[in-house]
Amino acid sequence: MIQNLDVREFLSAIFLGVIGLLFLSGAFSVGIGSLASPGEGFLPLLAGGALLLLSFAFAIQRFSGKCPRREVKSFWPEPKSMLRVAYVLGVVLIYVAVFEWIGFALATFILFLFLLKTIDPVSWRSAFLLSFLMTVFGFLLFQVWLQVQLPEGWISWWRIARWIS
Amino acid sequence: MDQLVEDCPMDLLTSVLNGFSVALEPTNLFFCFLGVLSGTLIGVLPGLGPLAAIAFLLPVTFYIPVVPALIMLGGIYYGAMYGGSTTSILVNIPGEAASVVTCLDGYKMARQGRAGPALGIAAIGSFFAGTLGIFILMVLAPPLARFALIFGPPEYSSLLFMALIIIAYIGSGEKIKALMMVALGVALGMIGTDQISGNARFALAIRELQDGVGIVPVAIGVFGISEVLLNVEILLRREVIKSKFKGLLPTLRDYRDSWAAILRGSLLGFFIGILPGGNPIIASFISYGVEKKVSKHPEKFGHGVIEGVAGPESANNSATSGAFVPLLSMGVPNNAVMALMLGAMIIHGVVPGPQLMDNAPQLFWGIITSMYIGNAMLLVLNLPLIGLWVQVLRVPYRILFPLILIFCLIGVYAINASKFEMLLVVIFGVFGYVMRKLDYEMAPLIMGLIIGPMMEIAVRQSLLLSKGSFAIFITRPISACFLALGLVILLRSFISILRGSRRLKEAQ
Repeated sequence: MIQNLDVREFLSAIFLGVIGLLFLSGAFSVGIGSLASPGEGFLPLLAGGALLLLSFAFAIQRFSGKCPRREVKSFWPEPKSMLRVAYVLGVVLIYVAVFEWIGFALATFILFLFLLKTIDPVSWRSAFLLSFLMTVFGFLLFQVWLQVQLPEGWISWWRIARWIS
Repeated sequence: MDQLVEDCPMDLLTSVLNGFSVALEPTNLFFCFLGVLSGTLIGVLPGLGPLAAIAFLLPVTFYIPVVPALIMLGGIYYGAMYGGSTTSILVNIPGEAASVVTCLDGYKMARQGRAGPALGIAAIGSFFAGTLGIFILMVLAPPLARFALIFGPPEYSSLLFMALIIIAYIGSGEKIKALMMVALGVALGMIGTDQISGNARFALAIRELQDGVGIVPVAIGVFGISEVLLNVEILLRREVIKSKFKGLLPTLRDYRDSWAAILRGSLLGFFIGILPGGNPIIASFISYGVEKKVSKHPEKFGHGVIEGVAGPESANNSATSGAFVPLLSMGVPNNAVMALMLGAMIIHGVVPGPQLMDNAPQLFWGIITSMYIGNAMLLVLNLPLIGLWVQVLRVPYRILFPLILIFCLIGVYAINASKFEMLLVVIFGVFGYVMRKLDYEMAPLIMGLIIGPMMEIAVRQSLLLSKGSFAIFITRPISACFLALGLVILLRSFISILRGSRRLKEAQ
């Protein structure tokens, strides 16, 4: 009987094995050359092959149960862990999607506000204040000091700041 | 070989003085201060290790010249070692992994009302260790670099192969998992334009991938984003010991009890730091073990003895200096932080390797001497400002993690203004999060990613030189030594994997 933890590890081995296989087949398609003149696929062949072999050995080890026994832990340490992780990931993905469209300032402010109000909530007043301060800090660090061209999006707040300064 | 003899003390002194003139330039001083300050802050804040911090601060350094950039990154690394002790002693939560062992006696000392001497000896020990480590680095790095000048592609191939195998072998988890991560890292390093033919490979018709999978998005993802995801699973609550930090300086008796531990820890840490895979975490644990072994009262360890703080804290700082030896003299990183430093050098157009000392003496000696200045700054930052660091400790993680996320995302966007790379950060963040939960280590992945392309060029050049004969790797003595060592370690890894399976079968 495969233990709970071993199923995850077995799946991780399959996942890595598939990546190894992709590199292996890719190596042949770009050309491995010869030993006297190694081609572009020569080292990818070795790396992909090694990954495939190791994953295969690991999967067999896990499937047969010939591995050190360990305490089977729940993947999520707390009932709300999954929700928190999913929430943070969701917010980050939305941030990446809209960042250039609505601009750094608004996107960053909203990201902070959402995260401060949901994961371990602070009061609305603190959330607004902290979001504002952190957005300004990010702007000063990246745009003003490091001269990074951040997307302005809809609201080019820092143009106003530039005029003022 | 003749050049090895040329390193007379006067040359060394001149080089060191030149290094100091570079390190003392106002810009470099400022970035050194910024580095050690951020390093201490990172070390103090639980849930943010130096690896994650260097990864997400890496893009920031692209906007400043290479010398101050590397001085700053170095400062973050050894600064974090200093700062890490504060949380271990006051909160019983190590700020970074190398300070885990400091919790054992440091926290007990704090509970006994001796937080001041514990923090004091940690800072003084770290300063001594850092200083001694830099002195040995100054003496050791140049002859090693001269020695490495005789290395050709076969020697480099074997050396890099050995470094990768040792990294996988020395990790804390299962060896087979570490080896898989190394192989995956090397494979990912193959994505992008082939450095010899100039053709794009494995780019999946994605324009951004033609330049390869960047070190920064991967490092930020697997160390930065995954760290945040792991930390938000359980909300961190911390109890800071409420004591007034009077008498930070240890007593005469404390010095008497700890000087030998500091000296032993410093020497041990430095030489562990030089070894491939050697890092401050291992150094601190070994130092604690040694101190317990040589102590006249080993039973008191774990109950608040000052040697239990002095030894490991000295060792972890000294190991950071040691880690610079292979990087600066041979261009070979021996742990993940050094791999990121190497990545920063490459991105800045600096060719790492034995020629670095001759081609860029300002960079080479500037970095080394700045570490001495940085250590002095850390002593000033750590002793009088301990109250301030305690206040920093009270910053809740719920405020900290959105800031880390923004640093990660905007940091990577700042490099190429690429939304694809932001997405790559998130993908590798999720990958790192899941794999770390399954006890896969991420350091071998980064090492493979950085060393893989270097190894590819060396291997292909070697085979071209030998007209396809693998004998080139074994007929050259230095290459043969590295290769043999790598293969022996690889064989030992497989034997330990097989033995583990057999023992289990017998037990069943």
